[in-house]
Amino acid sequence: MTDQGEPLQICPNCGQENALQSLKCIRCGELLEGLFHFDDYDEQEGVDASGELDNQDTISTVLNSLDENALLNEQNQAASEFPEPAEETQPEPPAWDREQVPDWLERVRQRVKEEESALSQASGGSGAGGRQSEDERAQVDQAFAGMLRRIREQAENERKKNRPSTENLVDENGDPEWLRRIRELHPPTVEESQNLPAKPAVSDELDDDWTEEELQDLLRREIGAQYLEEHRQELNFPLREQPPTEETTLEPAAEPGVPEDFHNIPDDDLEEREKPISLPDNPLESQQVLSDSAGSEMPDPELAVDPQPYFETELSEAPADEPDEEPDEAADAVAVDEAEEEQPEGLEMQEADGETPAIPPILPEGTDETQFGGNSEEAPEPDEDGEKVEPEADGELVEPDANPEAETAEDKNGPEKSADLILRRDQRQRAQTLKNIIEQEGRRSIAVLHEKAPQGKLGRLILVLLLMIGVVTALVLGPAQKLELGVSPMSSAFEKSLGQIKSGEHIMVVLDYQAATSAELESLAKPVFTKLLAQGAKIRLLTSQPADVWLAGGLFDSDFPEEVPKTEFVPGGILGYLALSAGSTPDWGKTPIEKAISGGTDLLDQSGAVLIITDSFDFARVWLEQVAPWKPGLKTLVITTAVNAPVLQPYFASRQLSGYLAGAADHSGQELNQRAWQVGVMIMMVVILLGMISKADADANQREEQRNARE
Amino acid sequence: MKDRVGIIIAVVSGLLFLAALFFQPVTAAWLNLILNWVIVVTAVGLMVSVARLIATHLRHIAVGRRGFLFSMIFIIAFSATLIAGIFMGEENPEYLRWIRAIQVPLETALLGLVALVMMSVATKVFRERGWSFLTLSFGFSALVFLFLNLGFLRLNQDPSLGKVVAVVQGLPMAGARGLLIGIALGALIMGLRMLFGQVVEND
Amino acid sequence: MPGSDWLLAFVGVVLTLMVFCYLLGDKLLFGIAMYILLGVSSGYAAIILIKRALLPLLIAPLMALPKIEGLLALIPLLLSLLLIGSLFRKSAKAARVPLGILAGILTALTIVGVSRGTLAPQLLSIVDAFDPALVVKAGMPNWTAIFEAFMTLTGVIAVLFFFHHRAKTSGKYEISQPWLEGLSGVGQIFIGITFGAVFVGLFNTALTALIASLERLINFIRLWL
Repeated sequence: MTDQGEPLQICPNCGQENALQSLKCIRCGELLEGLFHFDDYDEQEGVDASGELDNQDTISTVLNSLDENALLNEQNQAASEFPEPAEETQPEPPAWDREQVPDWLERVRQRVKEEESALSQASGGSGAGGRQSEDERAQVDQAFAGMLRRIREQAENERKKNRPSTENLVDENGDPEWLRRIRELHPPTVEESQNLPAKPAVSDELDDDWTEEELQDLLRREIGAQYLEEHRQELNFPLREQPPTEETTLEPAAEPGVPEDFHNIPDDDLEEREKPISLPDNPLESQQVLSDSAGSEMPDPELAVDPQPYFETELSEAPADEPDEEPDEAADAVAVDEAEEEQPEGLEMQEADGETPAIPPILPEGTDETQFGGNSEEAPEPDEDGEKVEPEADGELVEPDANPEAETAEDKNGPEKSADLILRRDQRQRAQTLKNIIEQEGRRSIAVLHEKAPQGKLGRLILVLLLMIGVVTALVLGPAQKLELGVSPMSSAFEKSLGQIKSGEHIMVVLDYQAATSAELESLAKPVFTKLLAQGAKIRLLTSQPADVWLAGGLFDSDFPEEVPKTEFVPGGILGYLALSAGSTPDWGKTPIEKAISGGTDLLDQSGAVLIITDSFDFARVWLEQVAPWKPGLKTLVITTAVNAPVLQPYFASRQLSGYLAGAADHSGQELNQRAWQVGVMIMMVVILLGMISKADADANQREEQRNARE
Repeated sequence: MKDRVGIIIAVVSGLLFLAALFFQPVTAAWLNLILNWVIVVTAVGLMVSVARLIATHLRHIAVGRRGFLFSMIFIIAFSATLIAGIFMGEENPEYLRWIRAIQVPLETALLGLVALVMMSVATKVFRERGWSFLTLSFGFSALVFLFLNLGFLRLNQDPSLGKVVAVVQGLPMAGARGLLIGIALGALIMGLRMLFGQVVEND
Repeated sequence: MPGSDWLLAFVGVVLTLMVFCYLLGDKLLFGIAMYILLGVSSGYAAIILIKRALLPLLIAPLMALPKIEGLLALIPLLLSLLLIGSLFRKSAKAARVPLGILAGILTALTIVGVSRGTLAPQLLSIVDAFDPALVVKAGMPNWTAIFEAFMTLTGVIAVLFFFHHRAKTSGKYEISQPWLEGLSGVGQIFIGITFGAVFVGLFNTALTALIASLERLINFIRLWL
């Protein structure tokens, strides 16, 4: 999981943010294909096909939809007061920092730029597309920041109300109430964010709960500012002062013993940070800095640390709607008190009592973020009386009552830890938001703007019922009659070939059909077999389909069961027939298949014609390709279903087939319920006509609407 | 290397069989023998696929996967049919009557459903595919052939009309022939690639 | 009607109704019917394969050992065992041998069959349509035969070109030459005519099956009336 401004795509239909990889909106189910960018798409080039123009329009429409998005509307006002984070813009660094840009900062910025360009390329966009995605991301970041700000305001208000009652509460373990609340919010089983993998994995990286030490450190930062201010003289704890010119960055300082790349910020966060989290005096700038570097983790402006020379608690006095207000440089207790009211909910739990103001969860100006690599786990335990750590001018937080020497190293990590924790909390919230989005994927949470018309199903059901009722009515009303249709040339040739079979001549009947088509084929085959038996032909039934072993009985008139020959099973399908036609008996004896089928390889030679009864065009085709060429003198006749009629015509035209019957309507002697047949055919004709008419009507309406729109 | 063994075997066996087909008068006996082996392997392959089907459904039942009821029904139907066929004999008339009583209604009803589904398809084909040569010719030819199937024309009584209808009924042959030739060319090229092209790639 | 026939008819009616429940959106009864069909057909196919294929072609020859028929039967036995190994993960790779042999032989059969059974006859048939004996009748041109021959040739070329044209231009660029577009359109017309005929044929077959199914229901109801 990353807290960076992960590119999200906005559904043009409902405005819901979706992950970049989503194909459909998680809210309304609309396809998001139009939002995809193509690799070679470049809106700078002239378009020469309307399709590319449409893509441009789609992108513009998407961006416009962001402006119209209700989710972002309330943020627009606040966002308008902040400079929009652009790809190349950076907040103006503090005056004392503008002239010095450390190398590592440059590297970080360069790396962020590279990553962002890679992101824009990955989304398939050109430079313009990348900029658009940047804008979108920034807008989304602002939206999240606004949400976070509201949450913090609510938390602050609640904390103010509850502050007196929780002043001196201590539980049975001796932990103060504020610590207990923090633990309730953040169970101790969570790992630090520094353990998050470089590549975000949503489910894993959401587990960024805080350890106890981190919580305590957070508490110290939350409550330490004012407390330290108030009790500075009493506590007499040292405040470390760091050079104000030192910028805080996410890159760890090159301290001895600390690897250069050591930090506890996830790598994906690091990539997004193109600027240090140094908080200028202006809370607007401070928010800008944090937003640009931490993606969505824009801290509350009112939580900006007051730029004090010794300790920085840039508690902005301004509420969320007054971001322009600059913090008082004096940073007295009044400012701190006022800032307390603005703190988010999470910070509420970090205070032990109402007397100790919370330290804003952002780094004070000059905070050395290079010390983020510090161990938050090693954060010193807060005092039981809830003494807070007062941040220094550069944002370093020092334990008020701890051994100054012992805590020096830890103090280095203080501001970084606070920023680290801040980031984690924001990460956490953003991660939770995205997790909720992902969990909602596929589920419709709001009414779809463009509901698909359900009438289609009703129409289809009506058509189905119409056909069934028509056929049933015809069956009930009319007796079965023979359908009299024209005789096709193929069926004429079939009849002619059938008539040429002499008495005593063997006819090999090859069966290859299923029970589904038995009704049609049996109605065709019965008259044929009746005629053949009347002519004295000897019929031999072969099949390679298991079902035809018992289906064959239906081909003959049930009045003469003794005439039904036994059906022989030829294993292997067409391979078995091929073995009997192309092969010959080896010298050492008959092969197993020759033993299984009487006649063996002379099977086809004994027959004057072969009649194939099949419902599969493929079987007929394979027979004509594989078996028939080995016996060129053998007449091939086919009885098949109506669907195969057109595709068998070429074989008849090339004289590979001597004739065929295709479909119940192709033979004058067959029996079929004519009325039911005609009703079904007429209904289908009406349906096809209706389809054509409705399409023409829809086109006419569309043209009319376009004409009206133009006018 | 993993895939090469199967490919090499396929290529070698294919080339040898091709040669046997070309020299069929001489190799007819070997053709018969090899085809017998292939038939056995094919039958075993079918049995293996049936066994795999059984195993899959048994696994569904054991795991309690959603829809395991259907798997149970399948196993029961399969077992009953197999056991009855073994004990009664696959040619037992009563056994075959029961098989017929179950399969014929089911398969016939399924094919009847196709007719009903085609009704709904016919309403949408133009809406979804739009107007084009393909859809227009499809629609008009379907209407013509459906009208011919109504039997209103009494073609037996009017030979000249019958000739016209015969010409109309012969129109699909051109398209069918083109389709057949196209499919045959594709199959031929695929087979040749299989036998020769694959060898070249592996080298 | 004998009791067993009545029972069989009742079973048929129930199964038919279970299939038609699909139209009402029911999946349970339809699924049960489908799995019954699958089970019965698989079971019967298995018993036929065992009794009519494996026993006579594989087991029976092995009984002839050590004769040559028995020795030759060892080869399909070995191949079958290797194929059965595909059911198990450890021996799955061994199935490549019989499957490779099957693939090679079927490929060879396809090459020979397609070229000899479809390509050659169909191409020759197109040429034969222009046979002078057909296009000239009693010294006069047989316009019907000529028309059919040209239609066939044009249709085949147009259809083949349509597929080639579509494969080449799918999503990449558009052909601007009108004669190519026209030829592709002619191909579409012929294909549309063929598809229309196939569609009607399929509907005819399905309608016949529907009539048979509904007739079964009506006849069963009439038994009670």
